Amino acid sequence: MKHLVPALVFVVVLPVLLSAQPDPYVGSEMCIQCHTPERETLAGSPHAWDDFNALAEHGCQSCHGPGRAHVQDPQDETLQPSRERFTAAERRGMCLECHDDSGHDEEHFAAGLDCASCHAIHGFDAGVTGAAGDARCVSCHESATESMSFSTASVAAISTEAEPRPFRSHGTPHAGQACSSCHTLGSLSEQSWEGRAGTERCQTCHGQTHPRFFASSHARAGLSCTSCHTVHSGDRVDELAPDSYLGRASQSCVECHASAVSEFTFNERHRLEEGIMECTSCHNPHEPTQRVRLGGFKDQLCAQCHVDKSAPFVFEHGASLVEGCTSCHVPHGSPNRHLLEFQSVADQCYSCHVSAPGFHARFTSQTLCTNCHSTIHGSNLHPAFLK
Amino acid sequence: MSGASMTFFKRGSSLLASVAVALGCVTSVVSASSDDDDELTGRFRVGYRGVSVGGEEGKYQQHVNLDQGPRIFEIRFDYVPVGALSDKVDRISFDIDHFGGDPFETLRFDMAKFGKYRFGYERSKSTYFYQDIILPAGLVDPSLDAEGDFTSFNFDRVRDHASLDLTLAPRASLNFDFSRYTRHGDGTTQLDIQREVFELERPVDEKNNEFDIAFQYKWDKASLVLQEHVRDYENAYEIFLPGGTLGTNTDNASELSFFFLDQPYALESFQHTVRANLTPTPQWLIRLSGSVENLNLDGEASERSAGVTFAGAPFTTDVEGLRDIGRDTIWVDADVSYLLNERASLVGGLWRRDANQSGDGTWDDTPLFNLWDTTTTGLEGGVQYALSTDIVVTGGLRYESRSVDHGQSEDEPPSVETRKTTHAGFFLAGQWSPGRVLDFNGELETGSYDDPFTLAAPTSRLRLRLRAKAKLQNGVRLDASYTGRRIENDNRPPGQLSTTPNWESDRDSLSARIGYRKKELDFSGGYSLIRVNHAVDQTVSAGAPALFPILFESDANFIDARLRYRFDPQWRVGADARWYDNAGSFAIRRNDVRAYVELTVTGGYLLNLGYRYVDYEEKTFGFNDYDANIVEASIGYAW
Repeated sequence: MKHLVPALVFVVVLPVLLSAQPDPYVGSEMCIQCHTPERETLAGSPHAWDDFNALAEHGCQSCHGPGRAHVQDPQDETLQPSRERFTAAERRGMCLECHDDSGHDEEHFAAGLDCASCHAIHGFDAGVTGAAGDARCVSCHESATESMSFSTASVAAISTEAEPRPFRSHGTPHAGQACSSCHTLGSLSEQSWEGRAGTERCQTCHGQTHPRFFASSHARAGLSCTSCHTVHSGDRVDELAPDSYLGRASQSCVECHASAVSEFTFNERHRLEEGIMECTSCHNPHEPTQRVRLGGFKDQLCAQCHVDKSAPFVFEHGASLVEGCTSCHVPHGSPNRHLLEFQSVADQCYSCHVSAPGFHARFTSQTLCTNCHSTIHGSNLHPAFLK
Repeated sequence: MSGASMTFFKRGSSLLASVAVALGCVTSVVSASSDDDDELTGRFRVGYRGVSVGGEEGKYQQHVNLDQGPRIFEIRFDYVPVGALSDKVDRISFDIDHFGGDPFETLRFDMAKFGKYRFGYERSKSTYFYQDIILPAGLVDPSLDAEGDFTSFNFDRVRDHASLDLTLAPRASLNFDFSRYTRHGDGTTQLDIQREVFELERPVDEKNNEFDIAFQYKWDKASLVLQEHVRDYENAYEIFLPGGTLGTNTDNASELSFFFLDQPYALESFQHTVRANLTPTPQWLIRLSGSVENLNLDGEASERSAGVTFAGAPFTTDVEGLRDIGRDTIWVDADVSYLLNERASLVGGLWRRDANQSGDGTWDDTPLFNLWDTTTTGLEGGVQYALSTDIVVTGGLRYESRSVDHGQSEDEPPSVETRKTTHAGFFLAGQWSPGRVLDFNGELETGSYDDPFTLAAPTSRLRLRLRAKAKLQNGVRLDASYTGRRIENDNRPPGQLSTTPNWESDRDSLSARIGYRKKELDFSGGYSLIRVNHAVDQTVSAGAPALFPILFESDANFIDARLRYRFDPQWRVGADARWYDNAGSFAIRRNDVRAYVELTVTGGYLLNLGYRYVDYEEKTFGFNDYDANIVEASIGYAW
């Protein structure tokens, strides 16, 4: 019993004594007496609304932490209620007490960022949309022109880049577009830019420019717009040095079509290396190029440049007119003369025309059939293409 | 003035004009750039090239064709205004390459205010040269028409292309596009005249103009495009003998005193196109397109000649002719894409093409007739499904049918033959992207053809493509791919004789590449193998043996490497090497090695020294072998 009295004193009196300590929080009105810029921006923010105050008991200090000590000694920096005293996860947790971030990706959080890294807490007009939002994105992603590949590590690296490169979007077709026009917080990860989902996003604006892309062989293979296009920088950045022997459009094709590009190393070839042509001179990457198998008049693509080989003739060579130029020619390149399938012209012709008139039997593989059949693409004077 | 002097004068004039244009543009833009924040990047380079060629210069001219002299001239710049000028233009780009008289010249100019206008102009000139020695002296036998190739040419193709896109209103735009090309130069060809082959002059003289105008209007869920296309083409087409000749086979009495064969013609076409793009809901994407083209060709012909036939009889010709051929083509396409849900989408297409060609002509009062009508109808449908965020698969079916009515004859209207061909096939494709560093693709496509129209058409086709790619965090890129294609014609059943050959054509491509890029170092290298095999079974026509075996094999091996390294802000080196070795029916080898070193001195001035070695060998006969040493020294300035 001799301890009963002290125990009662401890249980009853101590809380009274403790309750007599000053409240560590002060009212938000105290904060904005000094922090006038925040007061002005906060006025238009949801964080100044009554709804917020009803949920956040301590106003400013619900996020920043208790401020009484700071009020009592404003000069002591160690007493300032800074959010930096909390970890990024703790800061995110404060926001999540009221907000739902289920639509956000984890990439930025994993890189050490929190909500306030992108969202302007005080000012409603400086959210993640519009020019102010772009500035906020660019403050970390200034080297976005360098790569479209933002892995977790690269986001962190970019965030700490000492001398970020200037963002050049004003010189590209996407000039004036906000980051959030394409990037939404719910799908910032790189995956969302690949395949159908990524293409769908670009097609929001460009769908009527390339409406048949989804039927193309590129879409079929799961590629998206960003597989070839550098969306941020346009098509002419840092490629000024005359280093590559391929044109700019063709360079993006090499990565997937190395064998096809090698064909332009053959001794007989179209002039890709010299910069006279691009892959896109013949191929439209946005269209279903292989759609027409039978066609008829399949020489029309080649006829864009080789009109003399395909103009309507009185006597047409059926293989050329109906089946197309590739019946005999390999368009990219070939070791054989005139881009033919065979080095021997006789082999080329006899591979189809085995029932030539009897006197042809004296000819050999060295015979050049076109020495007589000199207008082999078509003739206006002779049915056997002799003139 | 000699030909060489004239060439030099022309090249000098071209160079001066180019310099004036380029400097004028650069000066005007730079002077307009009054704001220090404007971005102007680019470089200017002039220099001298020394060339030493050993061996067959004709083949060097066909493959490389770089000449000695002060021929290095290039300008590249990119201007992005930030100040007051940015209200009028977002970007100006200007490139000039090889404008010092090289056989490959390109000029590109592009300026745009995005959302308001975009103007582009492109000019290119390319010299094409062909002269081949394909037959060793021991095999030349004019009595068997085995003399070699008399075809040669040396002409310039000049292309101009200008386009202007105007945004009239947020929803309306207007596009103009003009392109032209000319081909001018010398050439030779061969003709059978009274059963003897003669080599004749055939100058190249063509010009082609095309003009497009298109109007596009967009609604919230649709857009409409109206487009008009006009083509105008002329070909002087003349063949003549500059002087008397005995012909290629001097063992007989053939002789040609003079020969003129003119077939000039002009072609014009008008194409009218309408396209509608519809997105009634975000899930739908529909494109409807219709196009009509009317093409007409008018030409005339005349031949005058005199000589002696191989049997010793004198002959003369003086004949004339005309031709008028029209071709009307109608295209109709409908494409539908529908997004079922976040994972699945459907794609379908329907197309029809009617091409009707008919014409007539005369030659030496003999009437000539031509008729080719083709109608093609096709249908395609497929589905793409995302099994997960890493795996996407696509599959579909295709069916197409074609009907060809054709006939061409002399003297009397042709009897029209009708042939119908069908094609059915399927395609499968898949992509697997585990993580963010690996990517695998596979595609399989196959089809069969029923009753192919010509002997050159296959009866079946198979194409397989596999690809793996890795993009590692340390800057290393790896890529490997395989493409196999087999087409064959097995129309003739085993053991049955007919006049059609069975044939098979295989083409396999394999490549592996590695690349590494960091700020100071850029390296890439790779190996490609392209294996081609064409085999023809000629055992046809009453069991008669083949005239000679027809088999073409080619194993082409390519190795290439590219290195760029910047030691420091002043010094940069680069090297490219490509080795090509072709084994098989036509064994050849070509090595092409280049290297340069570039020094940037104070104020942005550049000094560049480069070397290139090209070595070409035809292993079997060696008639066209050459090697070339090319040294380039240039100075420049970089902004």
